[in-house]
Amino acid sequence: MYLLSKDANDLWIVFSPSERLRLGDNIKIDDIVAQVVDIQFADLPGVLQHVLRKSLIPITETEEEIQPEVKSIVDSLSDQKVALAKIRGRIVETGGHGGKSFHTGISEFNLSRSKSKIELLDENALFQMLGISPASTSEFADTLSTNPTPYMIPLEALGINVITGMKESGKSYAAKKLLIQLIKRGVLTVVFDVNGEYLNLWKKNQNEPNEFINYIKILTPHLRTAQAAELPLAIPLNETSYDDFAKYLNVLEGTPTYQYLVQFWKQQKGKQFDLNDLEEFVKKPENVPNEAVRIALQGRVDSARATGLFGPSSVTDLIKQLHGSGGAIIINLARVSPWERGIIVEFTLRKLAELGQTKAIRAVSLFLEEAQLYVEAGNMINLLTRMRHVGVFPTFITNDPRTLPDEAFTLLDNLIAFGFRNEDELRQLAKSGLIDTGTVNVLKNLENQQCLTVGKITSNYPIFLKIKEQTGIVMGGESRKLVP
Amino acid sequence: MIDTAPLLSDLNNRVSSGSSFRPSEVDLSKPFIQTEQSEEEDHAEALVNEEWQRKIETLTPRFPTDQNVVAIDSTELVLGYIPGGFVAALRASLVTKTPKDNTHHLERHGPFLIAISGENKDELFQTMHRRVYGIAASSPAPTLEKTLDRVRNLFERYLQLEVARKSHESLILLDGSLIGGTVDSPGFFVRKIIDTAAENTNSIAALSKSTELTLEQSRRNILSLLEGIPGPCCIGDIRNQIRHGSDRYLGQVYVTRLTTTGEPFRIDLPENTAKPHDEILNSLAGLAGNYGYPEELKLAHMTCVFSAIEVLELQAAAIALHGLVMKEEADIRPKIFPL
Repeated sequence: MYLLSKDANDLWIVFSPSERLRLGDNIKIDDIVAQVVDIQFADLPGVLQHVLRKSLIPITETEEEIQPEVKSIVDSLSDQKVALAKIRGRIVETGGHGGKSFHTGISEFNLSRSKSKIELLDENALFQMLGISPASTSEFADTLSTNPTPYMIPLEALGINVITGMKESGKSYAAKKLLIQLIKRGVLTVVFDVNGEYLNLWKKNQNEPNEFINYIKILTPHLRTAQAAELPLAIPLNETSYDDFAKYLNVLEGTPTYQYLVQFWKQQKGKQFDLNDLEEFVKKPENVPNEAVRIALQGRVDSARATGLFGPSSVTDLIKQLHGSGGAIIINLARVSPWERGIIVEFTLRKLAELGQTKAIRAVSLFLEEAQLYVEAGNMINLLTRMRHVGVFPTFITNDPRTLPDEAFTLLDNLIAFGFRNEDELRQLAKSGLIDTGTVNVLKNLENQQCLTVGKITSNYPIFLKIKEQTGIVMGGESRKLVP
Repeated sequence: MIDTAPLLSDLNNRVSSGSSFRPSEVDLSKPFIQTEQSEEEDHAEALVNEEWQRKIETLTPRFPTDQNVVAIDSTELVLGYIPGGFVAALRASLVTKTPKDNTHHLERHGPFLIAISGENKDELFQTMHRRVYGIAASSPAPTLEKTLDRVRNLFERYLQLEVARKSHESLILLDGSLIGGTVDSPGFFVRKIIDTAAENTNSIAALSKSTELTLEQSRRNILSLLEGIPGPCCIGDIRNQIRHGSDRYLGQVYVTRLTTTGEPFRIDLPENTAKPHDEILNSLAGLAGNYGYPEELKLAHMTCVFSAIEVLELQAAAIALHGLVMKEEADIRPKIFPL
């Protein structure tokens, strides 16, 4: 390998077909660390004519007798490659005892085209310099490099996270793998599952449960009775506010109907109550003298009952229980209307914030699949700016990063990005400031299950990963095939 | 493929490991690099009677759909210099157009590396001469560069004979002429190629882009005979007008223009071709492409010459094969006067 040129942070390195270098490789050139983000053929003068001449007669119609000793060298020059490597920083000796650390940026450039030694950087050594604990097994992922190295996300470094990639690129698979790791570390994760993708995580196969059956609970609205890991989801009326109830049922603030709801909630303060109690309150003329208002309130009670969403629930207990042991609460939003979805999400977010504020729970991870479908703009900003202070750490999982507000990228702690083809989506990712546009463009070339990981979980050093296959867990959701 | 193993064992000589190697300059702005090969350079100018009654025949291009067309060409190139000699590369191409689907097939021999020095040139030349012509050469090897050209010529002649032997009912296109009686091309061997081809119902046509045949009075090249004459045409019966040594010309000599806008070429056709000469010339006109040159011969040439990239690769191969050590350019002028 030889250094060809440097342009800003880009180094161009020439290497021969017998030398191995691939996208994601970290290389050391003297004390400079660079990462391969693209590989091309070396643009040699005359190569076009050389190839055009070959194309005159198809290879299938060509027989060649080449001197055996020459054969291995013929075509080696036209196959010379050039690797584009991004300078990430340099290695600095520390402490005088052979200790080394990684510093970003380079203020000196003393490389030599002829003398600088270019070699693959041992990734365990790199991780050590970056302060990333080495993974003993490649349970989560291996680095994407010539010598793949096990990598485990340091869960304590999770904050505001985005897992993104185009459809079928592997982002949900990675999210599920991350979820499993969080459970193992005793962390509770609440998942808003709009597509029913997480519903089988408690299964070993289609017939048997796996080791996580007691730690994964699926809350499904409109479900009558509990089945295996699936529990009915209902919202206790006493756990909603009059304001939210009015909002859910389209009661305008300041109207007489609204005023009576306020009055009922004040009367019941500190007590358990449900729709029957509200109905009883509404029916009494001494409580609501105006007949028209009474009829309007009764209509709202009937509507609320018809949704099947309000009723006794043990959500709070479940959260507290799994917060202690670690686990996952999957809120199954796959078969509910957008209106109901909004109610459920709002309730859940408020419940988590309330439990966090009262310190009933220390911290919880929140997975939001395609959040734009059910999180209102106000709540989204709240999630990004305030919720982390009450211990709610959101992970947004989306196939279109443009659906997330800009704040998501400016406040982003960690980005796990899978393959993309669309330039607009790539530009959106670059807004995070965690990664440069040149590196983001690598996403165009990634295969399924391959991703770029950067942020606090990588000490801000971009690491390319190949997510490992998960065994013993049904990772697929409830997708159906058009043709069986 | 034609078996060239016996020849290759003759070519496969070694240079002492550790010898210095000064690579030939490779100009990467030129995509292909080749050594100029003079055609019939053993011959002095041959004069042709200018006063004879010339008959200009019009050619009717007919693409030969019913026969194989085989074209042969070869190339040589000095890759770099070693003490007392150089390392060179040889390659030959055989391009065949089949009658069924008119597709082209390439049989390529080489590149082969060959080290020629003052010490080994005589042995190499004699060995190759005996191997191909079956007799010892009557003279020692010429200069190093000329020896390389002769070795390439021997290699090409060997392939020509093999093609004449293995092909049937084919039109065989050679680059050059059918002149015999030279050190390069003994008459008996050219005659052997011609007769072998005829025995196998093949027709040979040799095309020269230039010729030493000169009109006696005007001293112009015979290719000038077609100046001002429009369309595909030819003038024959030239061999009978050669003043001296016409017996060395082993075929009838024609001056032809194969396409309307094409260049004039000399074409030699033996007397004993399987098909009449006018039919062969019409077929050649049918095969002619740009500049009026037959596509198969053009392909044979284009596929055997070395690209600049190949030359660099072969220089590396020569260094690796012979254990040579790269030597800095001896010319210190550029170092003293960099500007």
